Amino acid sequence: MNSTLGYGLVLLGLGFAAFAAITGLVTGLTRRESALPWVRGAVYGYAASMLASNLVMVAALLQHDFSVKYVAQVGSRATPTIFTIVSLWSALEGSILFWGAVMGGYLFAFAFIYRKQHGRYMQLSLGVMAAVATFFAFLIAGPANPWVHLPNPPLDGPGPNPLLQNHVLMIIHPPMLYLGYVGMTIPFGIAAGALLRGELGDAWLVPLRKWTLVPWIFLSIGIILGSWWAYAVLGWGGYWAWDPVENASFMPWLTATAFMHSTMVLEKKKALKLWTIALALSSFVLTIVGTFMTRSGVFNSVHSFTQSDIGPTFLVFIAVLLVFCVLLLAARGPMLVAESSLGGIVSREGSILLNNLVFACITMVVLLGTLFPLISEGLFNEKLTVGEPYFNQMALPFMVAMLFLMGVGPMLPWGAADAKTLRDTALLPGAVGVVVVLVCLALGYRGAMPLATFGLAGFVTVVTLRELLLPARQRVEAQKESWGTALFVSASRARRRFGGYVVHLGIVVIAVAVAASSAYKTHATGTLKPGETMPVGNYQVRFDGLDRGREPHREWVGAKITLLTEDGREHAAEGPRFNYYERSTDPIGSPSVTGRFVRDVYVSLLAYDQATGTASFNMWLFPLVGAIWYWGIFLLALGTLIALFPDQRKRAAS
Amino acid sequence: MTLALVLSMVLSQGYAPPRQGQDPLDVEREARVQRVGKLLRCAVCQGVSIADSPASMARAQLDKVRELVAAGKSDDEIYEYFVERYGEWALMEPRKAGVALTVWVAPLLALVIGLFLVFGTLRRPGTPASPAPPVDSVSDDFLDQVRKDLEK
Amino acid sequence: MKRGLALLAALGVVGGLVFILARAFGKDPHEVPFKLKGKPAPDFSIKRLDADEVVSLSSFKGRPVVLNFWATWCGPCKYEHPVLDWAAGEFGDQAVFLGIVFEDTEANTRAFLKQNGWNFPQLFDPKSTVAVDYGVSGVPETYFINRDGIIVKKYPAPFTDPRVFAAEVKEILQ
Repeated sequence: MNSTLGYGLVLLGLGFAAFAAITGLVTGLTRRESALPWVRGAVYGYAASMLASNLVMVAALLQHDFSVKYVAQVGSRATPTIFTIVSLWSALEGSILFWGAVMGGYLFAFAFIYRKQHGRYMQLSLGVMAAVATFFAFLIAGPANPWVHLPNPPLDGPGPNPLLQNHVLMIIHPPMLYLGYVGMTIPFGIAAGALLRGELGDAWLVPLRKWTLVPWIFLSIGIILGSWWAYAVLGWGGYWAWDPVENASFMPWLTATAFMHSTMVLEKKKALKLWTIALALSSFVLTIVGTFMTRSGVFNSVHSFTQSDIGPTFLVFIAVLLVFCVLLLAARGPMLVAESSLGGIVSREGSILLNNLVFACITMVVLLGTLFPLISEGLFNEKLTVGEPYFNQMALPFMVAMLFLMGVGPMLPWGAADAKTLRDTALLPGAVGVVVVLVCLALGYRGAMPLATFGLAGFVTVVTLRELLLPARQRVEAQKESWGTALFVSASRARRRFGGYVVHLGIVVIAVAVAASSAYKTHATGTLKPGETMPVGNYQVRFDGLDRGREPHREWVGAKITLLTEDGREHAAEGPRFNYYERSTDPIGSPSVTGRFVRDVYVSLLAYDQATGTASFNMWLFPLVGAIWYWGIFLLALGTLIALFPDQRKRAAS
Repeated sequence: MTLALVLSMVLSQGYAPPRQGQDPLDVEREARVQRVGKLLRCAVCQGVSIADSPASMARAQLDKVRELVAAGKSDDEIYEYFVERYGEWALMEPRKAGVALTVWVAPLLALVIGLFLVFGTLRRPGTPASPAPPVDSVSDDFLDQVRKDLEK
Repeated sequence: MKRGLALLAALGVVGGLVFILARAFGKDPHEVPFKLKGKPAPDFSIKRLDADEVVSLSSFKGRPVVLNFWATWCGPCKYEHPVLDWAAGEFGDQAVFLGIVFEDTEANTRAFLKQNGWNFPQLFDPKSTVAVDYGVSGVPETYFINRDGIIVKKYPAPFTDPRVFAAEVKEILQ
């Protein structure tokens, strides 16, 4: 019953999407704009069927209807309800189905919001987006069909992947990433629509920029949550391993970020058109390549939860997509000519061009590093590893350069800089940067990379705060407004700029936290008897004996620990554990993390011995690491919301 | 319920019993163990180094590094021990030689080419700005906006 | 002309990328390379579980050796246990069969052997040092060592079919 209904809805969605794609592209290219309501209607139909199919799947999961193949694969009566719902995206077929629903949501929102605007582009853009939707609907209907009906349903299932059940972050991390990945379809459609039409009007740039920002923030949050999850669950004391799947989410983020900067040059100078459009297209292509990496089973990764035979289908799609993009850029690129010339290297546009170059280089490092094991094995039959040390060495210098540009860029005027003004503006931030480095040296911190990061962070912070506060100060001085009002009004007058700088502050916080937590961590490892303590930095960790327990979906063995600070005070800490799930061959560790902003005490259980009651631990002190997730997510989201907030003046005018 | 009972239930389902590793060497040599271990890939894990992996087998491999360090072997000899068994795959970063040199050099090459392109796109210092750009390029329309607002 | 070249180059990159990704199908990304094939088998001296004796590989000089790395917690090892027991009976007079238990406890192993029986000497590798020396990358794994003490092959999977095992062992018996 559920199978038939759910699968019928998928087929219906496939029909709607295919109709929207063909009608949109054909009538768009032949410029018959009267067909637009049909395209829009089909898009709404697609969204509704996909959403409905997902709801049926959630219902089937909750009813434990094991006659549905996917439910039999990931469901289990013992799984808590929340994880039962979450298991919608815990394995390949379900996650692609969920992907279809997210795609439906995005397409619906886009078609609905612009129902009265941009008629000249809408058919082509919706057509391109619907073509992508058609591919995913085809995947759900064919190679990754979750709705297969099992004639002899099992009585119970294995439950979702234990790694997914081990932490609450796993409930929100995948949807965030999907919202980021799927959302890139929209800017892709917008850009491809403009290219197919052969013109890129100023008005069409606004949706392109805004609809890149939406998936961008979800991708950012998804990436940060993913690293937080890795930190809180995997127990090796890190949050970023340059794993193929992490890289897969990072690459579209890099190109989308580069896009957001080059679009400023495009708007201001009517130049870099081809490059900016190419960035919008590649952000989408990279999300598809990224999905391929996660889902094809071709890459060796912690996250490749699923292996299946959708790989070849996906690869054909990637090939078609890439050829389409290359041909489109080649055919229409010459139409996108620059309408004005750019200034020298010491100008706003110069810094943005360098910023784009640096982003492109980091993307290249990540892409090449991720693919190289495949290249080496495919062409030279030599298996090799490109791991964390490579990426750190190659990408970190570029990231420090990025931090530098983040400070220099906002100081520089468009066109040409006047040397004296420049010296005056650079004086204060530069001085602060130097003072930060000197203070760190005096406090005993060493190391070129972290000190460069801290110094540049000071420099960027001053530049950014000045840019944020300057207009408010003008209001305070001229109109005797209070600082609060002045800030609010000046922010709401230039949301995009204000939001952008808040995001910059978020990036500075993340950069400092990453540099501090990786350069100045303290590590200790050893085996303790009950009652013994082990020092880690200026803390002592006391082992109070083994503990065990049982929850509906797992059993666990843990170590009871107490943290002792230098002044001898005791702090209770949740102990690290091994969680044992049914049908998982290895226990899944759950480290103990204590602390919030200044430092984390991170204790993970390596081994225990029931006969002697001893336990082995890995312990770390990570300074500032929590700032990545607490402050990073907050500032990035705040800045993006400020930038995206609908423009009241325009709304009042229309 | 005793701990042993939980464990026996747990173990009967088929789990590797977590085993304790050797005690660390003195600070200086242990630092070397950890540094070398960071550059060697764990044989039973997913792309993590033997110093990072919590897997029991990784601890056995790190114990081997410890043994070789204690025996006075050089870093290269230790890497070689693992390469003999697992090939180049055992190294967390590819060597800067042979085909693998590509992965080190290509991004730098891209940077150089990119710099040429950037400077080619930008106006050369000394040449005058293009005549009558459509936007007044040195003005800041945001501050203008602020000023306009203030004048209202 | 220049544009045409750029287009060709871009399509070339696309083709190369798709080619590389397509070549990766059918290969197991989790497969760990093994380079000790054709090299002398590392020597070891470890304790026997089923007798009070220390066993060294070097004491079997001139005879082919089959080494099976396993553990009691590993499901597939249990499936292949009867195949190996049968093989030790069948080929035991021509080759030395040794089981090596690693990543496990002595108590578990003794209990397992008591319950399931055994047909060839079982050794215990308490710190997995022998496993590391042999470049083990999973469990179970079976090594075939010829008369000259050279590793001829590593079979990185459980034997479920006696015929497959018979075919493998023939190579070191010649």
